[in-house]
Amino acid sequence: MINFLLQGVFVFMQLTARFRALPMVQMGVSYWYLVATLAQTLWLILLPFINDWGSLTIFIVFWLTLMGLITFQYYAPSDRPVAEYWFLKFPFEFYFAWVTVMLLGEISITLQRQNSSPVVILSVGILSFAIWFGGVIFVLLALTKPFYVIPTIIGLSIVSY
Amino acid sequence: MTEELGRSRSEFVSEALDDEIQDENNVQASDAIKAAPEPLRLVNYLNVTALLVNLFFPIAIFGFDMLGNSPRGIYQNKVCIDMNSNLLEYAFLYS
Repeated sequence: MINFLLQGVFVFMQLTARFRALPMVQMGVSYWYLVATLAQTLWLILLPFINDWGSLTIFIVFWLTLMGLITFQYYAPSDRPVAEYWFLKFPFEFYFAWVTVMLLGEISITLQRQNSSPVVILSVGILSFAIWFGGVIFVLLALTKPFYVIPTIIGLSIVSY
Repeated sequence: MTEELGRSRSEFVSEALDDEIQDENNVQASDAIKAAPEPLRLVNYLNVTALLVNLFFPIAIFGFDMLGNSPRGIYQNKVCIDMNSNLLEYAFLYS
């Protein structure tokens, strides 16, 4: 629900004269939001009809489209950093973080349903944790404009597990 | 030469005033162009479409399920399985 509200705020603000032509919308979001939505919808519709590997593949495509959006927004020039962040960037950072957490769940579910051995499940779990941890460190420390929302939500989800 | 000198002072003043008015009109036109809002572009419309699609399908599928009309109850079964295995997935589906 929060995702939809935040996206609603973004869609409303990007229609206003103040924000509609900004590079953050035209170059940053560009067509990525529509592509991500289509990938998510495809995943949602096909979910019951395809096997777990197919579901996971579509979900990874969905995750990659959101990552594309976040990356393009990162490099888009920004005139009004605060307003642009809260209205145009924050909704997608939140969305991406949430979908990243979901991806972890999807990988775990897929392995469990395939009756993989505990060793495989544990190994993938440890490996994926290491990858996400590396990703969190990267977006926090290696970038000139760090992302704070993504590590926070991933961290909270790991704690809540 | 005689012709130039023969131009009256009033003609010079009149020309100068015309130029000034022209300049002023140009400045006003330029300001008007700057003040006019940018028109909505394709990306703006597509973002609205994306949100509507994003809202429509979860609500439609949820409604379909609630009415018990999903094909062979397949969504319902899937969601039940996912609820047992991962609450987050359920929350995401109908968030």
